[in-house]
Amino acid sequence: MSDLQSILDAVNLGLSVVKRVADMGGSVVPYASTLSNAIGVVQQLVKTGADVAEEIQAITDTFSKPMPAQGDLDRLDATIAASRARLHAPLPPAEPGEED
Amino acid sequence: MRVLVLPVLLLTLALGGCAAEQKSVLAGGSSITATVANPVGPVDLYRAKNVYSATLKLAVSYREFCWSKPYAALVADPITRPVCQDRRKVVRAMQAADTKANAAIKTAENFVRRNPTLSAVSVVGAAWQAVTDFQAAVPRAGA
Repeated sequence: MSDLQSILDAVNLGLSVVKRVADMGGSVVPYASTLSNAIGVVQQLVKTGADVAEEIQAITDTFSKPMPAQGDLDRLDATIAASRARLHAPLPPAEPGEED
Repeated sequence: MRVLVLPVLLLTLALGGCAAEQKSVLAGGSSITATVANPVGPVDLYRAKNVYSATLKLAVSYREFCWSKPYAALVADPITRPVCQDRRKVVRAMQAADTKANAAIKTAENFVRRNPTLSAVSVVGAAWQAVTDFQAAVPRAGA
């Protein structure tokens, strides 16, 4: 958990850099607030026990490293595809007392 | 004099595009012919995709949480009731928001791949907005 916290701290630091650039009128996408929402998502996931260490590390790395290799990009796509399949799986039938 | 204007103009533009220090007007410079590295592009999109991936995991986590027990047990529990009583409606809303987010990200990816020297600010911005909307569709269980 302490490792995760230090990563979250690093992401927060990165966000503050992005926000400063945005405030100075730099040509960045105005997503600083959206990215800060991502911290809320990540913290929520920590609470629910979902494993997001990979995503946190990837976002942190974007502030200090070059673009990742194709293998990492492919891995992210595979993770997204697997999550989408689970989210979009047909719902079970409605149970007694439940509206469909 | 008029005969010389066009060649001089073309020469100026060509030199403007070739000069090492000339910056594109898109990057705050004065050259209309200098190329510009994509100011908004692959790395911004990569960040958006990671946030999207994390949001997807949260959405899946909600779905699995709200189908971990019979519906009657979920609504009988004062903690799980407000989170899960509309679980079918919530999942459908998340699915719809995800479909839009995924489409927006694909659009941005295609644009960045095909236009490496153009600013991707509008398509990547749209992708970010769609991911934000998706985040809003996912309940904050236990918040």
